[in-house]
Amino acid sequence: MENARRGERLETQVCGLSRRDFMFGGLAAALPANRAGRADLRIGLLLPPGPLGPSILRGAKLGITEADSLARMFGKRIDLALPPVAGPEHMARVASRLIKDGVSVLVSGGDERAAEALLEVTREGKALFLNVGSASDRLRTELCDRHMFHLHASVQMHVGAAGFWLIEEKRLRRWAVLSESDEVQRAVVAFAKARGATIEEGARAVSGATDWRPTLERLRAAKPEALWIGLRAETVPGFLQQYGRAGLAGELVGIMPDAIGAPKLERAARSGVWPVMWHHTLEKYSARDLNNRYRRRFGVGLDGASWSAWAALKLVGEAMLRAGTTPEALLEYLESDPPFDGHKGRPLTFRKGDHQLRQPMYLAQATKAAPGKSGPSGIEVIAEVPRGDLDAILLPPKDGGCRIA
Amino acid sequence: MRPGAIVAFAGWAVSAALGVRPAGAQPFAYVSNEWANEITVIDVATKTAVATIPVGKRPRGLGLSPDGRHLYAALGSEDAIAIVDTAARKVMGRIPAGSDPEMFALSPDGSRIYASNEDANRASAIDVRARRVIASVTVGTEPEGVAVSPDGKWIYVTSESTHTVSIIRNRPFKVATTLLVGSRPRETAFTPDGSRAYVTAEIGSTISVIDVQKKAVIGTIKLEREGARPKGIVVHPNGKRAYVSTGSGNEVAVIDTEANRVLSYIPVGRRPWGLALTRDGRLLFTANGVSEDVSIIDTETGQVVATVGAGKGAWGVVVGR
Repeated sequence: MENARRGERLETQVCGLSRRDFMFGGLAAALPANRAGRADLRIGLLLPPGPLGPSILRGAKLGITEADSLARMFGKRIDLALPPVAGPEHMARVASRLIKDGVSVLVSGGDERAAEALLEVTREGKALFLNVGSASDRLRTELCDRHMFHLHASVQMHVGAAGFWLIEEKRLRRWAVLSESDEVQRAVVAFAKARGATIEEGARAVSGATDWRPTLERLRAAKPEALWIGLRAETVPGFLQQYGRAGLAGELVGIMPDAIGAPKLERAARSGVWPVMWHHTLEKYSARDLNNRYRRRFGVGLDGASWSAWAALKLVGEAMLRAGTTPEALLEYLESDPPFDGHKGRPLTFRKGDHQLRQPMYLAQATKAAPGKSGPSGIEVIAEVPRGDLDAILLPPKDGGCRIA
Repeated sequence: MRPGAIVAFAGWAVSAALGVRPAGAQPFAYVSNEWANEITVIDVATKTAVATIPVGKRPRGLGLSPDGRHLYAALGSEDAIAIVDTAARKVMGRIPAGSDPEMFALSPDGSRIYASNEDANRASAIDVRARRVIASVTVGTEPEGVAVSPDGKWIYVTSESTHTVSIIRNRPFKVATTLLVGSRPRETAFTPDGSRAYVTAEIGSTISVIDVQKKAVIGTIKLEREGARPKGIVVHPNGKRAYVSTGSGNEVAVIDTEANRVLSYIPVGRRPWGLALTRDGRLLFTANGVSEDVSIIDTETGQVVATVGAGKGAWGVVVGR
């Protein structure tokens, strides 16, 4: 209780705003100078409106509480600034003001567009940029930057986790893919090509489609052993309903990287297997401890988006104690392969080629309905992927893509 | 205190007063089996399992009283530490130990138990005879391993999530300082002369070397071994070697404590965690959780000389005198 009380008090202090202000993002981008002078490290969280916002905010709150508690054991302090961000177009302006106010680490909870808007500012300001909101492969390839680190798993990692499981565990190599997203489609095709699977049918789904019968007939003819779907959360239930009625055989794999963790997944994923970064039912390797801390504080389960935000703040706090407070020192530290403990049972490190955090993923599926009840009763984790080398679910950075040394 | 507990405690006091000796003439090793809810008793001389003791739910951390008459076992699912009469091989009482106790350490005179309470981020001092917490302090997040310096003056508590060691003064029970060590520290072992402490770090795959007098980290030993997750650690009575269990590495690392470097790795069973040495240091026992057995190593040859079956989820091990 003492810690919990301390945490709440701390949150108000470090954010420099009341609980109401914090929750509604009422903090002005420019913090008072005296406040800026007191912290040893200042972090800014840029969180434009989006579906992952509440999850990212909760994860960041737990992360800053834990990072600052640790820092205080050694006589240091870490602040988290949470300025209002109306949309991706405001990211650069707000970030510039934060950097002028002494913020040296920016945590972006926005999508690819928002992250891209931050890149130039972080380069000029020599700030560190941690991405916790976007799975975009483009951010890890053509837009990659030495100052940018990705805690959030990429689209390619989500695909790699499920693809690895299909090939290594289920021995299924004949795939079909149906996606509204070019990025998911590309990732599936690339992983299949790299790992010896074949694409029997590749269909670009029309956004907003409601009648899936023609697609399902093509799939029936192609007879894939596994079908990948990369559909928007609102499209998934309708598709799954028709897919179920069609009685097609084969494993179903769903990819929804930027919505994973939001309640959307729990509602949409009524069948199939879905790769996730984290799940609130995890227990092994001290996952239970982290899940308990989160649930005690917020009353809800920890999800993937929250995990990546928590991890970013925790990681930076540890980096400050071990390496120093300047962006240069932090950057060198993160590039030195420090083993980060993300409660996933093994050391997590950033890949040198693109600064993607290597981490195990989890495959989740709807639990079977309890006897006498209809419908799924929730989501459960059925596998951790990979069990061995974490690079097994990654593909090498493409030639001409990322140029981080 | 419950009436049953009073009776059990009275029985313990009587048995201690009468000087009942442990069964058999040789020392025994005791292995906690986390998922079998029992203790396996191994005869050290014959290197065979001779008994099992049902002890309660989820036994993990173990400790022996200085005279060897009482074995203590942390019962994670019962929020208690069981007291086992080693002669009768029966549970004779329980000490309330807070939520989900995992590890603890006994003071050299056996009068106190120091325990970590993971959920509360605290470490507590428990009076063994009174069976109650007499002092408690806040430590780092997810406190785990507890060790007492040979002179009994210092208690080291590792905190897994903050990667810290809280150094607690015995009397008054108060944190003197906190050290940052490797990522996810698990256990601590002191050299016999109390000058050094070694702390394993599971995710960092390191062992931090602490100067006890200076209360400072003076070195770090890295286990350059794929899959090594350092967990348990013991120091040989001669002070020249430390032994580290590597968990999923399925080995024991042998450390030269003068040069602070790894000398060799000894393959053992699967997922070794708990370690214990005989009093003379000639035999090392490893509790192997996945293979559900105990590897017994001759420390002079560095070879496994026996493998003894234990129970499901073999976790901790202690050896009597």
